[in-house]
Amino acid sequence: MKNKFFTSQSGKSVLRTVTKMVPAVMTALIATALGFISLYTSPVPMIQDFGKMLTLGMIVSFFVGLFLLIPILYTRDHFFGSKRKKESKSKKEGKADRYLDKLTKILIKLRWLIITLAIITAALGIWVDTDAGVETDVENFMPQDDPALADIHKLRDIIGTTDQVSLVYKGEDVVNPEIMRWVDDVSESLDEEFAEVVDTKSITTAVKQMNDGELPENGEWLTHLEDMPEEQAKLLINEEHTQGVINIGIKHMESEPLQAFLNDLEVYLEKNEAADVETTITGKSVLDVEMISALTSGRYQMTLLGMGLVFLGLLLIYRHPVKAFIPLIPIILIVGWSGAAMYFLGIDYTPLTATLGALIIGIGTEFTVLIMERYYEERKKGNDSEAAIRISNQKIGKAIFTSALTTIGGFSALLISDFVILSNFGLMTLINISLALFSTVIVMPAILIILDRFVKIKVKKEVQVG
Amino acid sequence: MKFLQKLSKLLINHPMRIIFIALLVILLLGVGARNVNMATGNETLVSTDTDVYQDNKKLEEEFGGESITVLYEGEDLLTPDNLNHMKGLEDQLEQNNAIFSIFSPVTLVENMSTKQQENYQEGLIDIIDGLDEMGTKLKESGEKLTENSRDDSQTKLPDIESKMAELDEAFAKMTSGQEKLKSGTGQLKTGLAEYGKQTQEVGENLHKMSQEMNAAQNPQARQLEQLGEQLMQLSQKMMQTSEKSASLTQIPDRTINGLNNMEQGLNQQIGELQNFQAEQEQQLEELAKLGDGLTEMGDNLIYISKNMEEMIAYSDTMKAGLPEKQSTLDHMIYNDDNQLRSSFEEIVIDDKYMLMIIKFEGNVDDVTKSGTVAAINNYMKENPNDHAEIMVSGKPVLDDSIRTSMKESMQKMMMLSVAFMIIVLSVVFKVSWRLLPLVVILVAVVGTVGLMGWLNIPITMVSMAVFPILIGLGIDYAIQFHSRYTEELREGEDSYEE
Repeated sequence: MKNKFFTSQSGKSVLRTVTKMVPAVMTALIATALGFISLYTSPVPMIQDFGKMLTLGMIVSFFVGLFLLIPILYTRDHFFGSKRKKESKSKKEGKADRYLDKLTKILIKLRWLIITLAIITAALGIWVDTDAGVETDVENFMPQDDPALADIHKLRDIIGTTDQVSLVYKGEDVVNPEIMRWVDDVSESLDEEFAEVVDTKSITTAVKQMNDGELPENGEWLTHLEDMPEEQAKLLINEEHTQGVINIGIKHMESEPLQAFLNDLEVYLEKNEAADVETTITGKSVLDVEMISALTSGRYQMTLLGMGLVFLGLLLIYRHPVKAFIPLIPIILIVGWSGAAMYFLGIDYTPLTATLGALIIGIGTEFTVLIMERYYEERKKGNDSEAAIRISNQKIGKAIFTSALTTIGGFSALLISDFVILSNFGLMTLINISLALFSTVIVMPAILIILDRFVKIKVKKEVQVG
Repeated sequence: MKFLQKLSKLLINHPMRIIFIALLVILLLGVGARNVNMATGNETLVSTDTDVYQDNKKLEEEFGGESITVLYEGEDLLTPDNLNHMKGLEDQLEQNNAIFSIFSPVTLVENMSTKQQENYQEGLIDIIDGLDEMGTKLKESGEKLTENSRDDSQTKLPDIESKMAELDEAFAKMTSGQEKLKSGTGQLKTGLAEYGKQTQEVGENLHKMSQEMNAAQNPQARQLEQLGEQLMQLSQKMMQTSEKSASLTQIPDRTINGLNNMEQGLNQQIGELQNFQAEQEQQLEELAKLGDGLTEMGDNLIYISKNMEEMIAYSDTMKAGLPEKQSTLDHMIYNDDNQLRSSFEEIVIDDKYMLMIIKFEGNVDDVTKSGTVAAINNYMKENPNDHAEIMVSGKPVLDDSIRTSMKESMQKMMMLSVAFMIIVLSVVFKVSWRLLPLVVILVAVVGTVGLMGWLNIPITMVSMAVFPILIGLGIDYAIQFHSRYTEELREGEDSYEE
């Protein structure tokens, strides 16, 4: 029956592409998606959403490729005939093929050297990466000639501070002389206690300004509050007088010293507690610190988790630990090399580059899974390991080369961005894709041949109808 | 394998239909793109169920969110012109309910003038009451006098003494009202002018009356004349006050004196009236005249008080506002030592900078913030200020600038990205229809964005910044399929040729 459908050359090509490539690409898709799942574990919602977007994008791309690209190609060849035979295989391409083949042969010979060098350099990379710098100041990310940036620097020079931490105090009635005295004490002493504090504003400092620097006598608090403009008072105390805020103006700091300052502040407040109020340290700065430390601290765990998930996924698909592990080896190498590259290029980690681990898994597993699938496909056809790797590198290597180059082409646009954070990210993704390509074409053959003995290959005759 | 063969069969049997269905599905997904929202707020940074997020949310709900600072730079910033310029911006932002509070020198000055105006108004109300009472009493006395002068049988003067005592009380009330006016020097220019005019009228009336009586060479005439003159003086001072609101504080003093004089004058009058009792009969005619005069005066006073009441109730002129004169403003913002009052410390720096702090409501989205920043900049463009250099800054402004340039940068990069891919595919991908994967992937991008809309996944700063990654990663699959298909086709052809 099926002969009827697959008689034409294009029909056969469709059959082969679908039966051979769909499982391979599907596996790659699952591995990639599993890698991206590590992004969901990030405590930062925008990274989670980024992971979701990438996963969705991958799935849609897969189906669009299957149900749009293949039918279009088939329609073109089947219904409109193909007279393009002569066009195939230019001499130049033949040369390139031969060159790649020669390279593969050399690689196979040097496999032990390659694998040793690769592991050593990757280990070195992971080692230097552990003390890579982290850049978290948004103002350093943006184009430095932005007038808005100059403006905020000027504003900071004039009023001393543009960054704030808020200290909220809650109680039944905060306008009682005792609490007010506490607020006054805290407002006055923070300045001296911490070098980071530029100035402190609270309801007591505002009242004192109106009252010649004196705190009002016991009963006069309410009168003074009434005299204060509403627009000013409501910034510092709520209408019901159950909550007040001390706004602490601080120097512009990176997130690490800011985190340290917040910890110190907490300790200070514990020491100087007021009996009837509950205090909370909050504000946008606290939020930023929380986000940035979440972004940058968990990056190794995220990468490890991603790799673990990919391994488990592949194990389920292949039911073979070595086969499931092979695609991960180049990924581990890339992670190491990428760390080394960042270290030697002097690029600091930013919230964006912190997602690189997951991206490396995404890009890398696709390449390695595809080449491994092809390798075992060739092995099943009866080729020995060396022939199989040569065919794989020649056939799939080209496709990988093309998609890697296309991706590089797409990403290189990021390089020219005047946002430092984007151009650095662009550079790093470029490096990572190149590394993925490199490890797939250069290291993967060595790995496949060395680990070949652990994977049992059932050689079977092609079931294809010719 | 069975499934894959079936799939292949399907693809080969109905390629057109599948292309059509695929495009239709993409189109349906694409519709969802309308629902995609850009999320850039705090909820994209920190998970909403953490304490850190909740604390900040509560803070912002209670005390507002981020603030924009408008900086005025120049010499002699605290001028009515500059304050009015600020006030104009404030008025424009009044409609904007994303704003929690606006704090500027205008706020403080307005607060001061409101406080003064409240005092002033209280004072005026007291004066009105006093005038009203005085008017009523005078009228009553006048009527009684007239009645008595006509009724000869009545030998005794009516109880004018007690009436006069009540009149005294009314005067006291007016005086205290004046004292309150003293403490409140608000912007009451038009109101005061009106008041002055009214009082002058009364004065003139009394003057006229006394001149009429002059003909009779009556001692009461002199008294009344005096009274009239005093009232005229009062009115003139009121008029002056309205012209020079700056010196207002001294005015009430003088009017208080004036009123006191009036009070004494009336007291004297009472005494003299008592003397007249003896020569009652001769004086009856004059008394009748005096009675008429007092009635008229009473009517006039009641009329004035009614008018003033209406004036306060309906007129905008009593509203507190920014001073129009530098001297008035100076009087308000500098203390006795000629130092700027310390409540200005926060918003006037080094006499060279003046700040206006516009604080957003809590948890306001970025689009609204950007809109507000644009509105402020627009106001500055439409209302240039020659006296000061103005800068609009603060975190929302910086963020807005980052977002804008990031979007611009992204658009450029997306186009460049596609261009690079076209070049790479043309050079490296040696197959026919080599650009097809790119076209297919752009379709996939439309589908993805649409699907995000349906699934309620927002686009964040991160996903926007790395949009090319989606294209870069997605195109791989298309290239793999395309490459394998071409490879198989060629192999078949090759084997055919061989």
